[in-house]
Amino acid sequence: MRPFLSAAERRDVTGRLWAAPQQGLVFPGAEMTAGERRRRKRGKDVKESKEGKDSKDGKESKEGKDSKDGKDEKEGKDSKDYKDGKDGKDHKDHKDGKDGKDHKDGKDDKDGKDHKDGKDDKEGSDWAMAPSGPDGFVRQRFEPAALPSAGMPQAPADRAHPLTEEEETAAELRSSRVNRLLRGRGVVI
Amino acid sequence: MSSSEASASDSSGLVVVADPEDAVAAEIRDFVEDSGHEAVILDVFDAAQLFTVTVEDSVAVVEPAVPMILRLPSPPLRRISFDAEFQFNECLAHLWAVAALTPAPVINRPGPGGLGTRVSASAALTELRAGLPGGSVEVFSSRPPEPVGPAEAESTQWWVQDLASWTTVPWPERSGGSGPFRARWSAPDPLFENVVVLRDHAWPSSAVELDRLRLEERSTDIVARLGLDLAAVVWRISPDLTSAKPVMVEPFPDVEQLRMVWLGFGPQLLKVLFP
Repeated sequence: MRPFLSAAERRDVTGRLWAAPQQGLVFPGAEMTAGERRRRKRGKDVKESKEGKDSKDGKESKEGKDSKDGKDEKEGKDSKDYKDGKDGKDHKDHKDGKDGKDHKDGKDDKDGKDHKDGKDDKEGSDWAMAPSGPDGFVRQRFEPAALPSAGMPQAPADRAHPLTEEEETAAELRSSRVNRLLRGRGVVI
Repeated sequence: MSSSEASASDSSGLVVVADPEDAVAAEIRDFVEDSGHEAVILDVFDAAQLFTVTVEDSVAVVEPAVPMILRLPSPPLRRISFDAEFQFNECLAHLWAVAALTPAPVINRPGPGGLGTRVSASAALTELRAGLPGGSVEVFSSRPPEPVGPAEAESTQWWVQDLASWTTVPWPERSGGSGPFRARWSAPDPLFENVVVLRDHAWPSSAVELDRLRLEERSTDIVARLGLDLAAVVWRISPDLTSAKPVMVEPFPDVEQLRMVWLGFGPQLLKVLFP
């Protein structure tokens, strides 16, 4: 379980946000921490790598995939899904203590592990059941393998007639980076 | 200067609520810092502890009032710990109140109805909410669904998407996954354009001339009707380039989508966050 920020840590974040130099004003305690200097340097390195490139050419993602890949499912095989309730336990009972267990001490989690130490469950059987709640979260994204194409038109060996303007534009759009990116991830339906 | 003495107009820092390894959050943080402002990435727990909401004379006051971008990482699909889930939900509820009530700019500010957006996992439902004419039939199933309903115009191919892996294959091929599945009619070889929208500005991702389709104008309209500030709209373009149909609205564009339009998007983002 993620520990709460200490008061000192919370003040540091607030102070840094509010102590940023503005238009000639300098607030006390605005010195950067070592972490902030590292981040600033990293930001500059990234910026320098961007210079000289046309952003419309796009850039390769460092990892090739969304950072959320598989991280949410840390330890799923042995822990119980209380929402299912099919094991016969009344999960409201923990307040009454009917079964004698204190659910809040984590003892119901058989492995006793903090969820951040667990492994990803990539079997797909339970992890795949996406909740039907509001879509307010960054979706986990996977980069699928190369997909089969259905009816991909083959370029003719030789053309009897030149391409029309629409055909040229369509070909240009098809070969654009965004099309290759979207098709590479799977046809959007 | 203490936090209680500062006002929203004095703050020059951005809070991005996201997984610390979120690539988009990192890109935005670096860009904002390079522009001379401060920015931090905080996860749900840390962000919730940063803010205080008080009610005085029936007026909600959020402190500190700093601009925010919400890219909330989804919680684990399976409960690992009662305490962890309770803490997560408490922090999430607090962040919802903070983001909804703060006078500072918030990208994709949550409404009174909930923390989520009006974008649904169902494209058909999203189209309805966006006020768009009914599109192709859409099927959700535990098994790869067979084609349903008549094909439309050039949408003559039934595509089946495995929601576990996001793999999409043409019927009757099988992805090999265990599902669940979502299926819809589309073109056999669809052509796409992606438009990133930030409030009343829009940027197509490709440099192809498609002005007559008015994609920028239509995209900003769709995003506004869905109550969003930032989104990427994916359009399926007909082979003859005479029509375009929105097929997906992504309220959390990924880093590749944003990088393609960063020349225009980045400066406009700064204007929105730091007016």
